[in-house]
Amino acid sequence: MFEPPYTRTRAANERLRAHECDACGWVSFPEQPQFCKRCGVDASWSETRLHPRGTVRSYVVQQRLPEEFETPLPLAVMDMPQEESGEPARVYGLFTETDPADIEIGMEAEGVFRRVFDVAGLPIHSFKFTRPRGDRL
Amino acid sequence: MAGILGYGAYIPLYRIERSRIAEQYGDYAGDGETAVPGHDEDTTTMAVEAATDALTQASTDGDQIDAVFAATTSDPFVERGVAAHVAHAVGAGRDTRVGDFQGSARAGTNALLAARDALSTDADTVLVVGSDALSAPAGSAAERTAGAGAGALVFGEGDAVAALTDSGVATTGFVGRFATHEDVTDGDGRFNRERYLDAVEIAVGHLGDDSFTHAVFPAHDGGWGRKASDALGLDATLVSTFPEVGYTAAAGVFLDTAAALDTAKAGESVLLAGYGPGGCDALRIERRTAETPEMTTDEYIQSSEQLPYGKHRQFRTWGGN
Amino acid sequence: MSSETDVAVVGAGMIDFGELFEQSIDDMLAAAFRDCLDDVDKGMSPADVDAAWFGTIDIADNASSGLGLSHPTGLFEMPVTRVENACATGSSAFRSAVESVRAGNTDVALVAGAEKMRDSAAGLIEGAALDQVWRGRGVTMPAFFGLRATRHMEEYGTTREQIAKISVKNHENGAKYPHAHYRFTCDVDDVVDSPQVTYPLNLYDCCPVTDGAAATLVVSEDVVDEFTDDPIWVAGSGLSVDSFERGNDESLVGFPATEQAAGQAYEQAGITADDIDVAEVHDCFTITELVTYEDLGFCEKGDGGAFIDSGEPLLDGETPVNPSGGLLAKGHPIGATGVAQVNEIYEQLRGEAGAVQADNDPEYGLQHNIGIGRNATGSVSCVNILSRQR
Ligand SMILES: [Zn+2]
Repeated sequence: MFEPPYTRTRAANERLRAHECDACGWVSFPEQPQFCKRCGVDASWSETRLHPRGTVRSYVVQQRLPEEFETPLPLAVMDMPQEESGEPARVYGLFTETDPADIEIGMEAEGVFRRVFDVAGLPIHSFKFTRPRGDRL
Repeated sequence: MAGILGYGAYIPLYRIERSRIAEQYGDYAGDGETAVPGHDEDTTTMAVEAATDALTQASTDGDQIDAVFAATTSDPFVERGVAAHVAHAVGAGRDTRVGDFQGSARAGTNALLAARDALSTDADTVLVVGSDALSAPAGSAAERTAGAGAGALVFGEGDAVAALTDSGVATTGFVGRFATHEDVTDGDGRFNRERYLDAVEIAVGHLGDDSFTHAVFPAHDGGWGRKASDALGLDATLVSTFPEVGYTAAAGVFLDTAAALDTAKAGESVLLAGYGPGGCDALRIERRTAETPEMTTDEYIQSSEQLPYGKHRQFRTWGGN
Repeated sequence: MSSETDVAVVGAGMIDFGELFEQSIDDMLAAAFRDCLDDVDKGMSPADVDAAWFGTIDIADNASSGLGLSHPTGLFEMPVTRVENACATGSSAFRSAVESVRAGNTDVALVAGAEKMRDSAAGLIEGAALDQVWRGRGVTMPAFFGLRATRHMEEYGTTREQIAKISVKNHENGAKYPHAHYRFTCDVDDVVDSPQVTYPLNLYDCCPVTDGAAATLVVSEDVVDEFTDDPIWVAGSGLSVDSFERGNDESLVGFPATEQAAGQAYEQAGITADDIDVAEVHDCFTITELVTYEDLGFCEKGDGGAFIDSGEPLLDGETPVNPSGGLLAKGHPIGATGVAQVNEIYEQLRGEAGAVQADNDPEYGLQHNIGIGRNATGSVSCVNILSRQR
C-alpha cells in the first residue's frame, strides 16, 4: 500500500468503491472511470459502492498454482450488486475457506475482508468470497 | 456514561482441538479448542469483520465515525499500526482520529476507556476494536491456547443497546506473563494468579455498584475467572470464550464482552475485568435492550471447521501469526 | 476496393514443434525461414524480401523488437516490426503483413513467429498475475477457459464427454501430422481420467508447453508470378478485442471477440461460415474449440457439443477442424502458432497436407486465434481466411 498502484486502488480494494456510467449505467470496477468500456462514451461517472455479497456466474477449481496460493482454489466470475440500485459489476472472485463441492452457479457468496498478498511484507487487503458463515452453523 | 450503539464479534472458521496439539508432543491433552486464523487473515482483517458487524447493528456508516481505537497484542509490525487501516476499510473519513493500544491484553480496556473519554471531549461516534492472532512456538505450552479473534463496539449518541456506566483502575506495574514476537514466558502460575486476583479486587473495588448478572474475566488461564469471581463473592454468570477460542488477549476483552451481551437481558449488567501486564481495568456495562448483532458470538463459535496439526501450523506461518 | 492490391501466400515453412531444449529462438527462426524460402515453387532469396513482421510474446526474454528476427535471418536495412497480441500474436503479424501488401506498400513480406516456451519452466502457471487485486490474480489460462466450460455445461447441457471428444479428435489428427509435438492417440476415458488441472479441465484438455517457429511469405498480385503459378489468396481478415468485464453474458459461454473478428473476415471475403471447407482454430483447451465452433458460426450458439457429436469437424467430416492436431497435439509456441495455422491452411488449399489432407477439395480455409490479455480480463481474436480463387 506504500507503492503507488496500491495506493491508487485502495478505495476500490478495501471499500469496494466503484463508478457508474451516467450514460449507460455500466459499473466500472476495479477500473478507473474514464471512457466507458461498454458505451464508449467519455462519460461522466457517479461514485457508487458494491455490496460484498455477490452471485456466482461461473467458476473453476484450480489445482495447480504457485505455492503462495492455498489449493484447491475455487475462482468465480461474480456479479456484485451496488449498495443502492443499478446494475451489478462483473468481476473475478477468489474464494477462501470453501469446499469446491459447495459451489454452484447461481449461489450467493459472501465477500470477506482478507489479506490478498504482501508487497515487501506489507499486506494488501481486499475481499475474497466464501460460503456465507451463517450457512455453516 | 457512554452509550453503546452496536457490538460485534469475529472468530475464524478454523479450530484445532487442544488435545490434537498436545498429542504431537506426547503432552497432557487438555480440554477445549483453539481458533486458528486462516492463511489470509490477520489482526486487521479480523478487526474489520467484527467492526462491520458492530457498525451494522449500530446503523452507523463509516463516514460518521470520529475516532477509531484499536487494541492488540499481536501486531506483527513494530511500525505500521492497526487503527488507521481499520478506519480506512470501514470507510471512515480523513478527519477521523485514531489510536493504537498495544503492549498488554489490558490494551482492550484501555481503548474502551479512551473511547469513553473521547465522547466527552471531541467525538460523537467512536469505533473500538480488539483483534488478536496470537503466535506461539511449535511445541510450546502456549501453542495449545494461542487463539485468534476480534470484537468491536460502537459508542455514540442514539438508541443504545448497552452503556458503559462505570470504571475502576488498578495499575500495579506487575508483569506476570509476557511475550516477545518470538516467544511467550508464563512465569510462576500460582504467584501470578495471586497478583492477578489482587489487581482485580482493587479495580472492581473502585466501582460504585458491585451487583452484576454477568461477569467476564478474559485471561490466558481458563481457571482464573472462577477464582476471581469467588474472591469477589460475585453471584453472576461467568461468560468466557476461552474453552472454544483459546486465549485472545486484547481481543478477548471484546469477545467475552460480546458473548456476555448476547445473553444479557435489558436491564442486566456485565462486569468486565481487563487484565494484562501492568494491571487491571474494571468496567461496568449495562444492557439497555436484548438486541444482538447479525451473528452472535456463539454462532461464530458454532460455525467451525477442524484442522489437522500440520495445516494449523502452516496457517499460523502464512499469516505471520 | 479497386485500388487495393490482392495478396497471395506463396511459401510456408515451419520446424517440427516440441521441447527443443537444444535450439535457441535464433536457431528456430533461421530454420523456419530457410524452410519457407525452399517451399516457394519458383524459389526465393532473402534479397527478395521487402519487409518483415515478427510475432512473439517474447516469453523467454530473447527479442525486444524487430531485431530479434533480423539477426537470425540476416534481414537488415528494411522495415521489421515486432507484433505482440497475446495468443493472437502470430495471426496478427500475418494480418499486419497482409494489410501492408494490400495497401500497396510492400511487394514481398515475410511473416515469422517463434516462441521459446520451455526456456522458463513456470509455463502456464506464470499466467496467474500475482500482484493484481480484482484483476486476474490467480487466474491461470486453464481457469480463464475453464470458466466458459462450467457455464456452457450449466447453460446448454454440454457434457464432459463432448468436450473430451475434441481432444480425442485432435490427437487422432496430430498422430498423423509430422510437425506435431504430441503424436499419440487417446479416447474419451483417457481425457476424463487424466489428472485434474483446473476443474472442469483435465490434463488432456490442455495444450502442451511447446517450442516452435514458423514463417510465411506473402506477396502482392504484381509479383506473384515470379514465385508461383499456384498461389493461395488472402480473402479476408478480421481482428477484435472484448472483455467479460463489459458485462455481456455471451462472454461467459464464449468469446464475442471471435464473433466480431470472424464477422469482419467473412464480410471482406464476401462469404459466410457455410463456405468454409477447412479450419485451423485455437484449441489451447478443448472447451476453446467447442465454443469457437459457435463463435465462428459453424453451428448455433449452444450447439458446440452436438457439432462435435455430428462428426462434422472430424478429418473425414464435412468441415474438418484442426487437421494438424491443433494446439492440443501440435503444441502452442505462442508467436508461432497463428503463423503455423496459416501455413497449414495454405497446404490444405494446395492439396499438399499429406496424411491430414481434407478430402473435401477445400476452396476456403479459415485460421483463428483467441488470446487473453490485460490480466486475463480481456480477449483478442484474429481470423484470417484463405482461398484458392483470387
Ligand atoms: Zn457507458
